[in-house]
Amino acid sequence: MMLKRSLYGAILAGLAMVSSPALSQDLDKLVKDGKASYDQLCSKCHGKDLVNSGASSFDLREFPLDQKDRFYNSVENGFEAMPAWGDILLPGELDALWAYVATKGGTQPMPEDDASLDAPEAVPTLVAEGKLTACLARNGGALSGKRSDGGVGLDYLVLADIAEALELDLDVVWFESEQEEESDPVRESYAQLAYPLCDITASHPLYENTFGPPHTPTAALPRWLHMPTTFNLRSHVTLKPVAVTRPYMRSEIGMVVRPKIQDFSMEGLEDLHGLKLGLQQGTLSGMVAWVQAPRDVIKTARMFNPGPKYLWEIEQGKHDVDVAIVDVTAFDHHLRQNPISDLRLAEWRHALGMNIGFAILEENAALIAQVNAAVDDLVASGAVAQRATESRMHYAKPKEPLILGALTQDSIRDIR
Amino acid sequence: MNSFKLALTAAAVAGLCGSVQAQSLDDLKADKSTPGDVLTYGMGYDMQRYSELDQINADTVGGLVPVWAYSLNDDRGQESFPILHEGTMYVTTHNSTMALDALTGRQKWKTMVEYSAEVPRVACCGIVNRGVAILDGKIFRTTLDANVVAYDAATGEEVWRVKSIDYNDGYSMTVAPLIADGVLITGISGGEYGIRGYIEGYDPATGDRLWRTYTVPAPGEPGSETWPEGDAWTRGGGPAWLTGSFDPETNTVFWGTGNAGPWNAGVRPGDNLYTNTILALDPKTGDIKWHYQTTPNDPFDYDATNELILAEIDGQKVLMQANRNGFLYVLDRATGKPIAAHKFVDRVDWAESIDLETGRPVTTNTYDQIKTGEWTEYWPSAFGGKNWAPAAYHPGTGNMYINTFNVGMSHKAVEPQYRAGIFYFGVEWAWNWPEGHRGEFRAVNPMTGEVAWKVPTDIPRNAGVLATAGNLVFTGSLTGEFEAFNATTGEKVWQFQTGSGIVGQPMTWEHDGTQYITLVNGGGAVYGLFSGDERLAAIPPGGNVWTFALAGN
Repeated sequence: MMLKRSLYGAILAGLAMVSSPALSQDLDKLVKDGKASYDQLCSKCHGKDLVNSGASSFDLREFPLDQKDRFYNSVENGFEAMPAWGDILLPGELDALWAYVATKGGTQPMPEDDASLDAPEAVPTLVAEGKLTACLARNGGALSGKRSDGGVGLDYLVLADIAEALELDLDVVWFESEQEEESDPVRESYAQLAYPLCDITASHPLYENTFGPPHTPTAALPRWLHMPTTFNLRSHVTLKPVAVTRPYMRSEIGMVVRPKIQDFSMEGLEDLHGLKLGLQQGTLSGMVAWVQAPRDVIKTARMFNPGPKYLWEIEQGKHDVDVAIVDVTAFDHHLRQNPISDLRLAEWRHALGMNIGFAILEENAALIAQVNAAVDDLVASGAVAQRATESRMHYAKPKEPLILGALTQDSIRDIR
Repeated sequence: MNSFKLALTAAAVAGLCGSVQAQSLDDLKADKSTPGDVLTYGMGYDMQRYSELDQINADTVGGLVPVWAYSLNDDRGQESFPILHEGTMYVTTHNSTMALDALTGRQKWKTMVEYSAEVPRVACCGIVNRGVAILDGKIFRTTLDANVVAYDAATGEEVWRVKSIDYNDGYSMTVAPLIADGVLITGISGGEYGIRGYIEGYDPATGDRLWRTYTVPAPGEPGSETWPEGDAWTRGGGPAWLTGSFDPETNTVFWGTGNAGPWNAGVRPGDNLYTNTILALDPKTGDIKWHYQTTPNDPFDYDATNELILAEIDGQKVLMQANRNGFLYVLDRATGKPIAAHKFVDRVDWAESIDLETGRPVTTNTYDQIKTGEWTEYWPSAFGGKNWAPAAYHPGTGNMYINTFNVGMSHKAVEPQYRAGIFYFGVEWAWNWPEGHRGEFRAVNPMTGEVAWKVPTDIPRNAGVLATAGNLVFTGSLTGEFEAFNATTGEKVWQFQTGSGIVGQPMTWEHDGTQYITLVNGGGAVYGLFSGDERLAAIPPGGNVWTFALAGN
């Protein structure tokens, strides 16, 4: 069972090419991670601590430091005697390996990135000149909502900050996100960018397969505000590869507690013995609970249908559950629509989470680079956290792994 | 079960047809007494690597010169044992199989092996192949991506190909297959990758798999009581990456298994059968007749995969192995009971001795301490007292001729991290290098442990050995010299610089009264890759098949 529709409502969309080294990691950490990976993957041919005669494998101490792209390409795709590793490298692992090799195991400073290696300093291509045009869900709850004087919600506010950093005006195309099981927000995002309806979309999970080449050649657009009445929604858009930017937040899994449970505290799912658990099909949180909760808890647990009614049903006491596992953003949505809720969110967060970024067409490298820089600044300065508070959201900063690898029941079992 | 029966029938039919074909099972049994052909890995089912040919001897060896060389067009380490049949020589690299005219070195055919660019990462210790097996007009090899392939010996056309297992999970094959009692037998590699090892039997005619004997039992199977509860057994190691020997008299195949996985032995308490074990198998069924474990609950990477040499010594039919763990075992090959077990290198830290009554090692504090997570130094290192390179046994001198390693290692057990297809060690480690030489070529009496002579070398030799009735032993160095030594005294009597390091296996044959010696050179593989020995920087890779004879012949 693969992750299908992991997050509430509008959250899904998807892609990512992240070129700069990982999140606020200092170089020491990167080199240390690189050494661990090097020992496991590379040392058998390139020598322990990079010491190698060069007779049967490349002597990496001699690797030209201005050829970072060659290094990345050789590791990912293989070259002559070098096997290909691209299919099994973990997110961020290649950056760490480069840091280890380029600093000769941390003994040398990191070489300056050759500007020519990065995206060419071209002018971003924009849908409308002088404007950053974003597609946002009109009914996106805590993340986005249309107001007469603009908009509200975390995605809206952060995009406004990004537009300001890019010295552009923010223009929003408000679309109707279908909160139906059948709708696929990632595919909608691909369609909006390819049409092109907008330059950027928000709430895109940094999850394997949510970015890159499209999975289907074409897709339909969701309805949007001021859509021409002559527009035929059934005429599909030919899709293009999409990239995700650096993440601005992290989607996490938490536990909602009903008022009848007093003095609730938990450190892990194993603390739920004796409680009746609610969980929702087709969500990441539901799957985590299903795989990891103790068997006696699962036996008495109640499964709820996919869709936004979940927390309303908990609120109303359906099946009389004691606690309900949720995506925290979904709870924020619920509070937005029901500010007098009796439900409360426990402190506990599951270790499994997913970074969230923006999506941009892969071909628009210049815009990706500029947005990446702006996002990193806004996260580091605390501006995004501040915007979350204004939007009454529980906020979590992005964390490693940058991009979440494909999840299966087996892989989820080990993430605690 | 129908396919199983069919396969057996097919094997039987193939065996009958074999009598009119060139090389039959009887030819394979008689290989030692027919020096015009070399049909079995190790020069005979007993794997003594000993030849009665004596034209090249201590007196004449000075006149030994190259007759031809053939480029393998490949930079990987070359470990292929050449098979010779009716004037055609069959040699492999990791990605090709060649048939050569044995007298001229001219290529008859060459067939490439295609595998994807990801595959080499699952080979721990060198992108190598160790050669072919031959039967009934077909030759058989294994591939790095764990396929078993049969080719038409005359044309190189593929006859059948069977995928043994998915390489993505860390499985690979480098072994030269063995044909015993009409069954094609192979073993899997990947002990460093969290595999579950096995040995397999195939029908040489069709490629149908006849049996698979796992070297790590599943829960409930015999030997499973030596594994902890849980799933450690699924990644328990026990590869079987070197060719076994065969005793046609008792119809028994002997095959060694490698290290338990991960190296961190603390996560798999128990003896961990049948890792680090010498197995006696029924070639038709794969059933285990007896087993003898050399390093129980192995924390050192002391594989018991090394060649199992069969001989008759003082009227006893024995099996001998210079094990990575530093002991030279002599076992009664009917029962697996040890007759002698002497240290064949100077420093062996993990055990005082082998108790011949119980068969178990008398272990030291090193063996206990290393499982606690403390940094622990041990000699010999994971290279072993002897690495993979096959030794020779000379019945005339009664000695085994062994390329030994003089290298130590330290490691610290840490929590193992399993990722499919990636090293699964559970230890942090470092080498401990000696002050002086790192290896010795030694002549050792297996029954007494007495060292008749030793020749030190700065960079350890890791090539196979060939012994002849000419009172010579041949081997090669990582710096490229192909060498001959006086079997009695250890005096070096001849050498030839082959142009690249040698990790291959010399063999000898004769044609029309001339004795030839053939060797595949080409540096690389485990020591070159792992040691980081920068003295090898001036030794270029690049393999050739070399054939030598006395000048004037």
